[in-house]
Amino acid sequence: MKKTLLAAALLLPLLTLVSHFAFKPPVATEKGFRSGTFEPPHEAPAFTLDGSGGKKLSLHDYLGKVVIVEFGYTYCEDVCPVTLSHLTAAFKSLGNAASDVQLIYITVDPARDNPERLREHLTAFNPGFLGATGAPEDLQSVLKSYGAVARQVHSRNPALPYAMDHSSSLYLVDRQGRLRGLVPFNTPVDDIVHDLRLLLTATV
Amino acid sequence: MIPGAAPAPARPHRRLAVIVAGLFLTPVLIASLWPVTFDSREELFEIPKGTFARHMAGDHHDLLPSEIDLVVGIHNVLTLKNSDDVPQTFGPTLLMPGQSLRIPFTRASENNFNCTAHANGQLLVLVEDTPTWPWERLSWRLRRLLRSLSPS
Repeated sequence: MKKTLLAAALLLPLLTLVSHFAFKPPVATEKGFRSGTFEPPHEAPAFTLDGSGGKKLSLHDYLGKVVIVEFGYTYCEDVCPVTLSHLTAAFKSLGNAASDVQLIYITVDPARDNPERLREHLTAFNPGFLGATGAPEDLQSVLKSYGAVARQVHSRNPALPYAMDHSSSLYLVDRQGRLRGLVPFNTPVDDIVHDLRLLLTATV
Repeated sequence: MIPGAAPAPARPHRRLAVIVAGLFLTPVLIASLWPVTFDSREELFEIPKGTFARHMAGDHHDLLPSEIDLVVGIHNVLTLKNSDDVPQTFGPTLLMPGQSLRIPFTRASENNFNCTAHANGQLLVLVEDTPTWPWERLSWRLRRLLRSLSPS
């Protein structure tokens, strides 16, 4: 009995090490897009809203550019600041190529986000970022067409009357106006840059 | 032992204890030492053809669980596919008929997606590192077992 226990005591650490080092988990790499990819790609849902630049803003106006569509609101305290910071860093990383990329930030809080407020808020991140707002029913229709959602919830910040719980993914539209990618919240900047570069150089 | 005497028979309760311990330890050892593997890197969820018609007829069957568990490197791709004849909101997006959304996850992370299909409005995609030490594998398998037993 003692011999059996002794053998087990010696064998167990050995088996532990063998089972750990014998199995090497493969490194997770992606050859194509690092974010979500739509297959086959379809035309991105069109919209025309009030732009933060003071005139109407249509997705169609940006054919020829890569467009990032984001849903958010300027009073957002957790999701939007992170995403906008990531996008600011991504645009810097793209350098001159960033001039061929357009962010359209569509508010989910039209009661508080007018074009002026959107412009002030977005300019702090990047003067090239554009905001869009509109009638609640128009914004709801845009949200629905992308499968995104937003709803009013209680704010943890007593200074704010309410907060908005909203979809946090980014939608990537290629130069041909097709919806190509969905970037989950908190995707690393390098991965966003990688996918934007793929879309910028894509021939089809 | 007295010289010439027959050896004392093994005590029955000790033998029983050894058998019980063996029955308990063997699956624990296998669950700890056997590597975690999957047939595919992909976790596929599909909206079957005719889902919209069934939904309109009153069948409100959930097609997505509220939590999806993935493992970095070996089972790290979530694919949502709409095989129905009409556009469908599936997870975080709207999918056209025949269209799929493939999302690879290359890092351990907790991903919350807003999703209208669930009562709490959330779809959690939990991505874990590949368990490689025996206690990690055992813990991973136990958690997976408990999740599969608990009602979603």
